[in-house]
Amino acid sequence: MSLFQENFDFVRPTSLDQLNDLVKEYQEKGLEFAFSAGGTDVIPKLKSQPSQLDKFISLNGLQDLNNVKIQGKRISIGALTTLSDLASHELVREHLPTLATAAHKVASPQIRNRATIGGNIMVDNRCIYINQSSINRECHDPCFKADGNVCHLVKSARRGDEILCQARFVSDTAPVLLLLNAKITIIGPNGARTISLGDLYLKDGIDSRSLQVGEVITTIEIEIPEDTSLHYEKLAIRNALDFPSLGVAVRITGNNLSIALTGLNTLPGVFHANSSNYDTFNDMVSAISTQAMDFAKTYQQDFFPRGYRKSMIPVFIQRGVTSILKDRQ
Amino acid sequence: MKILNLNINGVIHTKAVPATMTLLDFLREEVGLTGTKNGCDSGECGCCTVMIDSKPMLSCIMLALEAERCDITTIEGIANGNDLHPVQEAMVEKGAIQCGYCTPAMVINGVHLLENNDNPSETQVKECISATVCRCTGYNSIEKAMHSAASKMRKARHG
Repeated sequence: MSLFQENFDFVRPTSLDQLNDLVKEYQEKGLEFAFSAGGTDVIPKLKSQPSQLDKFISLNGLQDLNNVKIQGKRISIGALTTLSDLASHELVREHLPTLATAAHKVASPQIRNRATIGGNIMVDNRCIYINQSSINRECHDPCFKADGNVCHLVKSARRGDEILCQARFVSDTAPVLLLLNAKITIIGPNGARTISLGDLYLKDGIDSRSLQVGEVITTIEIEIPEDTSLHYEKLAIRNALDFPSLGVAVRITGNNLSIALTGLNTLPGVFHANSSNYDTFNDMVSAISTQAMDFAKTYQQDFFPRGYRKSMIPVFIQRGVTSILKDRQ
Repeated sequence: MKILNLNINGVIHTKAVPATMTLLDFLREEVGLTGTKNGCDSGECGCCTVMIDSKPMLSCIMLALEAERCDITTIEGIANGNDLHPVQEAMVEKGAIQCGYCTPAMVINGVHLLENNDNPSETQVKECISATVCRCTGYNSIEKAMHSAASKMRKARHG
């Protein structure tokens, strides 16, 4: 039977106005609420740790947000588009093939049929201690991220530290979206706003997103790139289901080389280099690889040894560069 | 408690359910369809796979109330009366069933793959069963069964 640790109520608004009204009502009454799109991240979390949830707000009734549209030179992706729909969508495969690849690398077929793109860019950070079943977690004291008072990864961590929790950022689609300069539209009790995807991410593993309480992502907008010289590569213990131990997206446009990293730090890393600043192309690649390796946090918070993950960063960058240059020939 | 009407294998079931009930618990405990198994209860093992609007999804990490207005197919709805689906037949013939716990999920995933593509590549078959954990067979016999079912289905369709 159900392993949920609290009783909550289920609501499914069918319009954004209705959603905002509900949020305002719950805020006034001081009720705890959580949003769920596919639920593949939220529901296991609710099962594995106690919370004070009063209202479970399913976003699946907002059918207007489940589509991919092209408007001139922009592609607009509704946040409720499932990862399998995104990966197989004609427009995405034609104009943003690397995004389709990254979406296809998330979790497993069953999860991609349910999980959404909005959910994947919001997917909660995790470390080797928190990303476990409730049974496993009973063996440890609850950590800061589980409202406890200890960090199993950094024993010296104390409340008040600038970065309290080192749980890793693990979205597969975000690195590609970041290199495509995606913008996200957010709606909440105080109206709508549009920000760059990069501004969504904060550097603490607990409060890792800049959304205000009651805000949800509605659409992701991408300007169609002139060329599609992108590549995404993922390192995971097995191809099915695992979060990225390391994910590297590479983009080459004109004289610029850009990379975006996932799985290495509490937030994604984005680095740019321009070939005019370097003697050779290879110098540029090694310089950006060094920056990426400096960005990696080397805590033992993954099943791969930390040194291995770090040493694979330049390998993945080189693979991406090679693959893009080969495609261009 | 909320009233939930759910179309499962073509039959409408109406029950009052708490919001915290997962679709898996609804199927097993309320409707009595125990073919769908509970393995890890956290979306990792794939045992609880059912078809929701013709796509395989995990019923243990989905609230029953979220499935309202969807068509659910469980393992009980795969065979046609006493006639097994070609995937089920092939699983029996190839010895792809040992303890049987993952079998319903393997069959649901296989049926979804082969109904949409009766000539799948080796990679497509591997990917199809990749997220359902089997601790007995080593997966080889399951892969063989999927290819054998595919060939049966091709013959049935194209002669």
